[in-house]
Amino acid sequence: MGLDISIELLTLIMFGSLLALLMAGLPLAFVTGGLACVFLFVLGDANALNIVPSRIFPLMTNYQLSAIPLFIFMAAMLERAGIINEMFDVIYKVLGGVRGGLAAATILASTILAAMVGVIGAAVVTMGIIALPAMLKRGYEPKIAMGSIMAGGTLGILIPPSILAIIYAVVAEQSVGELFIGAVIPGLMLSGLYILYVTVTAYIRPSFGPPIPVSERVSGAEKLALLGNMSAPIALIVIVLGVIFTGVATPVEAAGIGTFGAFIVAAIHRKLDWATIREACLTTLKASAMVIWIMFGATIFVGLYVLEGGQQFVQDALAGTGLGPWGILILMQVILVVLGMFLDWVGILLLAVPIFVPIVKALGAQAFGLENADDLVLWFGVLYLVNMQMSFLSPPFGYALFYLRGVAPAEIPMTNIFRAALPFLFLQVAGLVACMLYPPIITWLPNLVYG
Amino acid sequence: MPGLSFTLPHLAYLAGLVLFPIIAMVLARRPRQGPARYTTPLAYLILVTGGMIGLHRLYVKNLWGLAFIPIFGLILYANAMGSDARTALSDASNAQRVAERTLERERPRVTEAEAELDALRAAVAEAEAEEGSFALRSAERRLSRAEGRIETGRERIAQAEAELAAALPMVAAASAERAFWTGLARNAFYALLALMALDALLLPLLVRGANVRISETAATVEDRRLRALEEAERKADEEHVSTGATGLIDRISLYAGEFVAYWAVIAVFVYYYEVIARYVFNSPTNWAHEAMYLMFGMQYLIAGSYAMLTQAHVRVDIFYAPLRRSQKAWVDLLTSVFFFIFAGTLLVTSFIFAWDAITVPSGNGLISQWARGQISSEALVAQFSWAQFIDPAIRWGEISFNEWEVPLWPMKWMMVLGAVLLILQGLSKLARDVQTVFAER
Repeated sequence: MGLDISIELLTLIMFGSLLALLMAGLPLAFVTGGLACVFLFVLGDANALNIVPSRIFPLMTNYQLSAIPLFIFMAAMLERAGIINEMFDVIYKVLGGVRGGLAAATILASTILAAMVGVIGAAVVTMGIIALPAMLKRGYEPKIAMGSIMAGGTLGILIPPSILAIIYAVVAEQSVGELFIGAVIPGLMLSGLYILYVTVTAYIRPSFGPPIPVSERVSGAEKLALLGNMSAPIALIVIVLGVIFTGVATPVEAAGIGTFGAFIVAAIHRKLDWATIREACLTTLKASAMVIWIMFGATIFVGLYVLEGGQQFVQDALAGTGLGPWGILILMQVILVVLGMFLDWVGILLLAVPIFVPIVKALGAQAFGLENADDLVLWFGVLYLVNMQMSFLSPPFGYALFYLRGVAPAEIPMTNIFRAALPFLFLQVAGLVACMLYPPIITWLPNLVYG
Repeated sequence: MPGLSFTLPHLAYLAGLVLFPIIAMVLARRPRQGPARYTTPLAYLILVTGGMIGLHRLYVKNLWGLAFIPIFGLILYANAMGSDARTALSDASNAQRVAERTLERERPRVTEAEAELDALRAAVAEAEAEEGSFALRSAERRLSRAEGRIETGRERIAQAEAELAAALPMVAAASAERAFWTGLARNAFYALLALMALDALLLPLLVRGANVRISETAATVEDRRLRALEEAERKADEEHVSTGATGLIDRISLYAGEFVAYWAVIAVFVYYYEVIARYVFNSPTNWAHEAMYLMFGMQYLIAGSYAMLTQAHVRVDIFYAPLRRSQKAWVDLLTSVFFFIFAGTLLVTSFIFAWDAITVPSGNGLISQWARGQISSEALVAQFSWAQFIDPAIRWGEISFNEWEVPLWPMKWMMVLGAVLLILQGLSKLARDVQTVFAER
């Protein structure tokens, strides 16, 4: 039709209709895809619709994206091999004698798990089933128990291999490996903060996290034997992350090798049969289809908006607020966290990152005390990952809260789950501020590895 | 080190994509028998794929498998050193070649100039009779130029000889080093092969031993809950299939999804093969990456309808989830307009996109000619033969620009297929929503 609509009005109409359809419960992939087609026709003509396959095909043939199904597949195989179960069992026996040891074990197991899994759902659900009863039975304060499960579960977004990091790298045209490495220290830092918090709390208020009774503890030799059981999954993590970080293989190949390793681990646990493979394949198919179809719809939608001058409009609007670079950065992060309460993480990434990254680049690396534009995009990417972590944990709609709600005992009210998340959310804010004020936390390791 | 120079034929690639899922679908439907045990066929499969790292022994919980790892590491190390030596060798032999070429060029020039020297001197002496004459000056100039040429020529020869003298031992050293490392890698590889051959004989015994050592621990409450959760998840997908005519559509999506889901297993083995081929056999493939990302690309498209059937596409359900069933149906009917706009646009535009991939000028198959309107439909049917499928020179449409030159048009037609499946699934949902709305009346 070729209508001429001013960008202010267009922004209002495009995002207004996006919001309305989303609230009506149409899946995000179809909302963005459908609206993109409508607006392509309204702003252009029927020929403009031919953009649709020519935006989708490059995504189909994108090499980096094939890491997504492979990493999900690896996680699905490991999960079915019973690794999560076993890992908590081992770590909790080793740490059980310490005050707050079970909560620390939960976080530690979640951290190791996060290095195998790129998404959070499975970790929170499984830990909720295994670790929560174990802690409640031994008199742990439910808030500490639930908080450590949820906070530990969100680490999967940050600690490589993270699916979200792969998508960010593809959208922002960054190296996947660099983003993976950049997220290592912030991830470990947050994990360390959580462990510190539960341990200190357990020492100040001993009733919050009592050590397990002496009769249940195991001897030093047994502990060593238990750790031996963990060697296969740990070796797998070392190999997968090692080949990525040394540049021996691409993240995609690493994911392939990792999944091969997951098959072997499953075989060692006598869980490798065709029925298991089928389940893992179907889980993978659903999770990756969900992610990729949102990409299909959202790239067309956002591509159109950027083409119509939307990115410039947002940039001017942000500049017009009179905030400095730091003010704009903080405003963008607030927007991300708020969006995260309602929208799916892949959706946020695809809707916000193509608009935000050019703005951050335009502000310049010097404005944030960074050396070059690459560092800047990397730094913003990891900040974005931390933001997403916070949105998973923030009441009232954070996903982690609902995953836990699904498996926690019914007598625990939702408000208690909310309250359990708050101290950990605060720790995440502290971690985020540290990453913002002291960027080398993020940029030091990638620069060391890639020079 | 023996090389692996295997290029996957296009036909084998496409056939594999069709056959493997069918086999897997059949195998996955066999009931599980009894408690899980270590099995000999699986042990042999692991021996073939991961035997070089001793994985087959680790599978049966035999720690001697760890002994394979240092040998394997030695191969990788020797290969890396060997390729360093190869670089050094090619640098050194380059220097040698350059020096030799300089000598070849400069030596005749110098001899030639020296031969001319006497004649020039004679000319000078002759011209000296007429002092200050033009002939003397020009003869002197020619003499000094020839002397200069000889001098620089000698310098160059001396330099090149020095370089050659330096390069020759380097070439020898580098080629000796290269021979050493490749020999080491080859011997380590043969040692591994020997160990694997030995283990191929021992494997049934190892499996039997591992089965004897299995100690079943009683399942805890948590284990049972986890298993129940997995069980529920497994059934959940099939429960989305409705009855009647819409059930048929649902079943198509279900099977199409399961079919492409198994492709992930292919990718695991292909990427593993690629990395092993590159680092152990020094022969990276030119097809593994392209074959796999194209395969996943097709998978995403077909998976769209499966994810829709199983409601795996995320939605915001703050307002949607609390609605009653009939209210949901009403809202779905309204929003489905946008779904059909998207799916319909995808179908039409991707059909144009895929059609263009057939009519490209580089397509020389009968189908391409027919699509370009060069031959009639009757001629297409009459001339069509088996050769259209198996002749590697015949292209049905667009091919990839990469070295492997795999046909790209099937991937584009998958977009059309994905759109068709999506629309069918949308119709199935629409029909059920209409039913719900009318049932309410």
